[in-house]
Amino acid sequence: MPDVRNEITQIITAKMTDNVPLNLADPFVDLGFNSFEVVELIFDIEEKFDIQIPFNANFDIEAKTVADLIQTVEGLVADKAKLA
Amino acid sequence: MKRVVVTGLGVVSPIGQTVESYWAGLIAGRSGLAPPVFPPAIQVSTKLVGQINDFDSLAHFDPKLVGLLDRVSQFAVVAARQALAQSGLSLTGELAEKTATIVGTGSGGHSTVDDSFHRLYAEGATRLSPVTIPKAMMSAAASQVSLYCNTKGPAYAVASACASATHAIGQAFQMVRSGGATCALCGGTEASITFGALKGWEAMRVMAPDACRPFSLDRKGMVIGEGAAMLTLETLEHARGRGADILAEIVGFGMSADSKDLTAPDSSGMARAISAALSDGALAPDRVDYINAHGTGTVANDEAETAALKISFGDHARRLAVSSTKSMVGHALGAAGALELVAAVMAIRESVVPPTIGYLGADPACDLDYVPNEARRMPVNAAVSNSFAFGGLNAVIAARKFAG
Repeated sequence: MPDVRNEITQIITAKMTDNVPLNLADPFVDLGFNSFEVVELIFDIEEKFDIQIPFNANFDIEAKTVADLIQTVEGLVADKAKLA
Repeated sequence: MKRVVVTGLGVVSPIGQTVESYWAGLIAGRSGLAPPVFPPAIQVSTKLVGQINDFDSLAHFDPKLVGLLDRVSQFAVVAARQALAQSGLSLTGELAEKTATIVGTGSGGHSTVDDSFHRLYAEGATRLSPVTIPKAMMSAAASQVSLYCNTKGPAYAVASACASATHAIGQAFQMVRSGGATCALCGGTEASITFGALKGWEAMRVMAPDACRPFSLDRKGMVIGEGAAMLTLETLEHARGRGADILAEIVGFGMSADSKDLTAPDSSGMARAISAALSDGALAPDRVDYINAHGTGTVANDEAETAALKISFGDHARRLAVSSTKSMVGHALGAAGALELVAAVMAIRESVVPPTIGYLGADPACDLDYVPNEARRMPVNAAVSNSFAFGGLNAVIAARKFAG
């Protein structure tokens, strides 16, 4: 089982340009990314774990936090492991 | 400078394949959005598209020749024939040589590309049909319209993603106004609901799962559509000389580039195009009654467009009727601006504005009159049609009732 939290944190912080610490309780809209950059991050995470993450840029950027995303990805990775 | 009038309209849309059925659908508030039939819904996560499932190629084209036309060109030719027939023009001799053909498309013969490359990459084919390139090229629809309608003047395609049709019509307007052509067949066409394109759209994560609800509270994004619309434009003197029925006058065209972001909309760039169209048409903002909005249904577009209307129209913005017909037919991308200008011309002619359907209530960031859910009978002396493309390319056309 990969360390989802650590991998996601690394993917996000590598793209962060503002010198602000990553707070997992923050919604994406507060991380200093524009919406398309968030969409690209979600894609990078999908590629990393080979999963499909449900995420609509119209509302999830404000509605979801990094912690929500980690939880979703942990679930998807666990489901995938069960199928393998 | 010559005055330019509209004398013919043609439409192929998910709610009707004639202007009459399209317009009847729009004013009835009928949605043409449904789960995709092709590619099958099971292969994609896209829940809704504005797809034309009952388009019958063989009702329009010789079975021996239909294979030369991608779906995008078929739509364009069918719409162009309607627009030409309604105008009553007979394109022969010198008039044919003075008639322009300008067709916008975002993706050209996309299903030909998708199908051909699938054969190569997935099925291991070693050769492709010799008509692959002539069907797929971006300008194929313009060529096919010129072939089927006998237009022999300036002809080319215009590509500016979701603003392609409006740029094409605007260029045709300028050409006829300047005397570079007497008549023009112009508009836009799109047929890119393919497996490859839908996966690309899904990756942008802006697709609505439930409905296209432009400007509404709880809107969740856009819905991809397809179709074509074409208009016949001609100089006023030519239309009058032959006693043509004049549907509306095109008075202004404005363009701008945001020069800001590849995907995010920018209200100041939008407003520059709107104001440029009003100024080009010598149209005071308070003379405009109806806006056919770009109104995609994304959170970002609809907020930015609302702000742009306030910049360009000032206090009059609150008195405008603003609607997005994408709520009914989806976003037909390179065809959208033409489908929407047809709606605006019909609104002028019929004194009815089509609604924005699926509207659930006011979003504080979108606080204008969006003609929610039901068409409205009202005089429309002047109307504006907005198109704002990804990449920040904006095009706006202003039309008004022909008053002699």
